[in-house]
Amino acid sequence: MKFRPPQLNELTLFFLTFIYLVPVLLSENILLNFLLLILAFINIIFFRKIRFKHLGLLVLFLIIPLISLFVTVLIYAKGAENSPILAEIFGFEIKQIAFNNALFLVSRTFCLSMISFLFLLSIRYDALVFALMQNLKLPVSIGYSLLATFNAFAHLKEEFSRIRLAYKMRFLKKVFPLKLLMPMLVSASRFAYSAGLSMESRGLNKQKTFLELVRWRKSDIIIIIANFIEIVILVGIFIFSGKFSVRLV
Amino acid sequence: MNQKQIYFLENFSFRYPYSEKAIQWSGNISINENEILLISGKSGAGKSTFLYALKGLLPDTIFGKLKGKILFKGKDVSQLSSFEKAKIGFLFQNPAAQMINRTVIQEIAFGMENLQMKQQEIRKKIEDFAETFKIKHLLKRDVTTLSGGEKQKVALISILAMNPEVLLFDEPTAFLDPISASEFFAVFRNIVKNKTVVIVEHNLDYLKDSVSGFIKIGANGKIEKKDLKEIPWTQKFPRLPNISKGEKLIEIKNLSFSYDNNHILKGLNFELRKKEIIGIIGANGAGKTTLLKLIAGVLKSKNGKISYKHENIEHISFKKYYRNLALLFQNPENHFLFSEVEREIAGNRKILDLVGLNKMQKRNPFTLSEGEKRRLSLAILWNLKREIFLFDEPTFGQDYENKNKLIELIGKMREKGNSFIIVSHDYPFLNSVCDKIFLLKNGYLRETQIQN
Repeated sequence: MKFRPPQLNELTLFFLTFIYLVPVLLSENILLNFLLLILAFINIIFFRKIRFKHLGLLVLFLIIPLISLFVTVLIYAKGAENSPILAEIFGFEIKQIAFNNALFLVSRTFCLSMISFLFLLSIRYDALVFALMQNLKLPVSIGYSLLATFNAFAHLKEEFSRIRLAYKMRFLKKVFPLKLLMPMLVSASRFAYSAGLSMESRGLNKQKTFLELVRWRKSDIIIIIANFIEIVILVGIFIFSGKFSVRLV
Repeated sequence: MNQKQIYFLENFSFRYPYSEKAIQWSGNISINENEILLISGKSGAGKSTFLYALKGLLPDTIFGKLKGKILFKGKDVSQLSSFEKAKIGFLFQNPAAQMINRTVIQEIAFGMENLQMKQQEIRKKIEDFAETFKIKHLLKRDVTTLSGGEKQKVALISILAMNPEVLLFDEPTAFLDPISASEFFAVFRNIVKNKTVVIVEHNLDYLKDSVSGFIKIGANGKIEKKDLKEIPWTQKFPRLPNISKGEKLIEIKNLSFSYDNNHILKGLNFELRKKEIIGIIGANGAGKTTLLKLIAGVLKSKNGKISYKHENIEHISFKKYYRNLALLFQNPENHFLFSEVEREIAGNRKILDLVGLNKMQKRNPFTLSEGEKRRLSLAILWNLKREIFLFDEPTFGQDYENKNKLIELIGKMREKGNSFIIVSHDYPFLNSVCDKIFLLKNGYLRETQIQN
């Protein structure tokens, strides 16, 4: 029989994101950060289909900022004057402390970004908005505006490509992106106006019912608690082995 | 038999902030139960605003100065509760912009949820409507993936599901191809029984047998109830004279194109000569805009060849190609980049004279009327002094008078040596300007007969 993971409230994934992000933000240990990333990855694989193509693209975008961060810390790290020299490249001395700091910062940024991406790509945005409206009392006017905004992206993407082509066709040489702002703003405001009228004319109100009810199930609570305990145990192991220290700034 | 009065308007007028013109009605007007009322008027005359007034959106949702009375069943329309307002269904022009939810089923349920219906009742109604309108296969689809016709159908169902007593339609077929439009009106004839309907529509032919009343909104904004005999049911356009054509400019040979294994264009062949106007008609999603994008070089095809003056366009640089070609989009606002009309055409006042916008030089292009916007977008392209123009739905949102002006302008441009490929749903318009019209269906192009 094929295994079927339990149906999750999207808010569970939303909360899990923070449960994983907080210890990474506090930890100074590279190994712990990567272990937390692996745990988050296992969770997602268990509950959702991972869109590796999108994830790969996001990682690709991360590479340049990470390299820049590494090099910047390597050059400008404070207190590295008395540190032993690790290597010398083209006359530039790489100090041990600077190298450690650079590696730590890069790994932490990578883990934070990857955990965020993993959950972000797995959460169904419309289901999350419905969960926020039904379980956390998000005002329906805000919730449905968010849903309409997600629909607007497809519309604005097309508008942008047309406006850009219209601009290119005229061979105008002035500041490129700024000129496109006005027509894009007009287009976005017209879309927002129509969506607002559509909501109002169909009687959006606070007392509404919902076709699909979003509930907190036992499985949601168990998953959150299990993950929390998992992280506490992992951090505990590092604390007792003396490898965990907190860096708040 | 005395019909029950649904609406009563008394000395009503509405003025938008910063607008010089008001929509006004001096005297009383009543709209009765089961009446089907057609609203007519020029672009920008205030037809949509009149519908907003009937829906009770003025002046709280849409700001402005409202005078007089609009009563719905004896109650001030702006004071109605959201439940009472739900008795008035409103279908907007642009189906894409009225979609709030991600999936079709959520979208249809939205209005019923607002009426606090129970889940089971909502599900039952959705099932019934899906059966009647044959959209069962669409229920789980993402609304952004629907065609224009499908979107408008979903929008209509979402309103009908709320069981309104009054239906207000604002150009419901503006975004639809002729087939989808006739399908829409086939449904329309069934659903308007026992309902009061107020409709703004340019495709009057479809409404011939249904309409029972007529309101005209004049250029000065004055609303008048007119006799049915005054409705211009058939709108004819003058045909541009035939002129001799020049050299071959664009040649398309065996052109095919597919998106994700979906074959949209299959081995198309045609050519465009100097001073020639070619029209392409077809259903929503048939691939008309895709064909235009291929000719414009925005999309590239692996099969077939498009050449400009015997040279494959793939071997011509963007700059060189676009010195000879320009693309006009369905939405004229896509062409506007500056805050003044005269800056858009780089101060060339001669062009403004030709398109009849000589008094609008200092105006912001985004504040022009629909007809003026279309003419300005045309002037922008004309000012670029290109040889070939590709038009995507140039008559969209244009009334009869504006279409006539457009035909006149295209005639003038052709006299100066320009050639055109026009993609449109508007067959009467294409019939009046084109030398050849092709029907794009199932991926194939077939030349149709021009009617004189």
